Amino acid sequence: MRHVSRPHRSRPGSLLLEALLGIAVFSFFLSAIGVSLLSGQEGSLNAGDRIRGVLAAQKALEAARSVRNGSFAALTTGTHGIGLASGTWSFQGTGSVADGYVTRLGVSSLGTGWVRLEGTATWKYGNRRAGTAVLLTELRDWRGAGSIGNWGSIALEGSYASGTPLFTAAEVAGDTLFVTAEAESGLYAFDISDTASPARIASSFSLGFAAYGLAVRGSRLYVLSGDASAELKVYDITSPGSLSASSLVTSYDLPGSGLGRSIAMDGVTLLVGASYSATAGQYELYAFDVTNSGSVVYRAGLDDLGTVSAIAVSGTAAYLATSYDGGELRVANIAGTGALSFATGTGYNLADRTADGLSIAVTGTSALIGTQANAGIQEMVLFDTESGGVPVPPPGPWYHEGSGSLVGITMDPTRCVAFLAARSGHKALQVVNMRNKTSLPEIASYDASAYARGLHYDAVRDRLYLLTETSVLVFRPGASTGTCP
Amino acid sequence: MIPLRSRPGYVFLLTVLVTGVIAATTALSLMLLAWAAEQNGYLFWQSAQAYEYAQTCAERAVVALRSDLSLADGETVAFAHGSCTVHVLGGSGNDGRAICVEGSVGESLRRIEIDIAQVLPTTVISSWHEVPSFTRCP
Repeated sequence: MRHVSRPHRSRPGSLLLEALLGIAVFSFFLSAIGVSLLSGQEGSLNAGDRIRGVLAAQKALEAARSVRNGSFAALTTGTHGIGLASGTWSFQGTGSVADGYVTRLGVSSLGTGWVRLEGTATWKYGNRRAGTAVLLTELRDWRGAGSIGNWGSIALEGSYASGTPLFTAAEVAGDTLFVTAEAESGLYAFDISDTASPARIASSFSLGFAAYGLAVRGSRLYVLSGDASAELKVYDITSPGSLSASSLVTSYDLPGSGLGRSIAMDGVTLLVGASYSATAGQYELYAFDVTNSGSVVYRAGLDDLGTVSAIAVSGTAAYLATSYDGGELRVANIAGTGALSFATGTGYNLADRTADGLSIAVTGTSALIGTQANAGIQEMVLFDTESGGVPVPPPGPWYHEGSGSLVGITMDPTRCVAFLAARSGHKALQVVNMRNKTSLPEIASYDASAYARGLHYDAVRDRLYLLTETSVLVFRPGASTGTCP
Repeated sequence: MIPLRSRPGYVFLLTVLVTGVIAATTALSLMLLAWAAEQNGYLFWQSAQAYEYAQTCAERAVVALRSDLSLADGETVAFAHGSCTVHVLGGSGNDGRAICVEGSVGESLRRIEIDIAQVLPTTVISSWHEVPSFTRCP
């Protein structure tokens, strides 16, 4: 085939047109590349700017936390700059400038002891690199030191009395005081938003059985009753005023018949103490998993040699007040999710008595046990548990004379005072100075018209509820002196 | 076959094309990197805000615990850009409590775990730190 080509000269102007077209395409291509490179670089720079802006805003919020740690009142509303003064963060002016960033902290009130913080960082580099980073958070006033009143000076603030319910134990959930009783309604609920006049709520509710103890976890109330076929009952207390039979969520039948005597909660582990039984499978201490608020799942049981009358939990140890003469104070290891076991040493034998352990309390490094009354013994015994597990005196133990069998015992969170409830009308309530260990002196007492049967200290309100055969008595302390009485 | 030398401009044309492809690829890569960097900047903000939301829930939970020691149930609070969740609280009573909170914005999750040695009368915090997953709350 013959190839014929036409000389360029035969198409005048085409070369120029091609050249112009080529230059145009090439220029467009170069421009696109250039713009892409520039915008890419700008995007990277903007991202860097934003990250630095977020860090600046974070710094403002951290500075506000530092200011709060000094004094919540220093978080004044308005717009502030932040800066260091003598090594401490403080508010300075209405904005602070560093490295081209203007940082501002906005503080606005959301209520008493409650502020909203807005950390803002703005920047502007040229016309196209400008921006703002904003971070929001809230701070609450919870760092202030609460005060414990002077329990050396007690006053009866309020009471409830009706019939002879034989009250046994109490727990607080929000503004409601739940109280168990061996007779009449079995379970009582009181509105204590005004502790001077506790008002019974859900008064038509009746448990139908004697109740010996209770524990609260969130919206669930665990009641240990004398029901032979369902000792452990779980109620929904989302609306305490509406407590009724239909509030029952689930129940659990302990081995044996109505043997449950004491109850305590530790996180998602519910501990139940029971009367002594020699029958196989009828334990004296049970652990249940209550992770699921709708069920009670058996975890483990532990055989002991006496009735477990009271349980107090500290860390991974459960301190038990028992009737066993060879060890009124027993300590069980409740760590993990498996079997229960006694801690090394098993327990402590109060060798001067055969009286049963009836009540127990543990706070910090102090354990208190109360026993039955008997001639020649002091019913309250204080142990040092600093080494953890079973107390190994010395130091201690230290003793105090109760006015009767100590059916209830507890202490305030600062371990200034111990509260004792005695099966006695005379000095049914005793307040003991725990800081003076050598003599453990009584600093206040109250004579009730009926025998005391238990007590509960409310750390939120700094109030003590004394339970007697006939009434619930609310005590308040004198004005705080700032120190232990 | 006709050698290239006999067709003037082809070498230049091929050079321009190859160079152009390389330049275009480089530009595209830079643009993608820049986009990724901008996304990182946005994610960094999301993460920081999620942390602040977690702190918000932590503050709320401590106050709630101080007013009700039986508190154990969790709750979720919604905000403009995300939310925070207080998980079921660990421990019982006044001593040895644990608070687990989680803040979330978009895909960003930040978790904080707080150990409280004593709630009242003065709240004593044993530790307050960010964790990858909760160990102190059920």
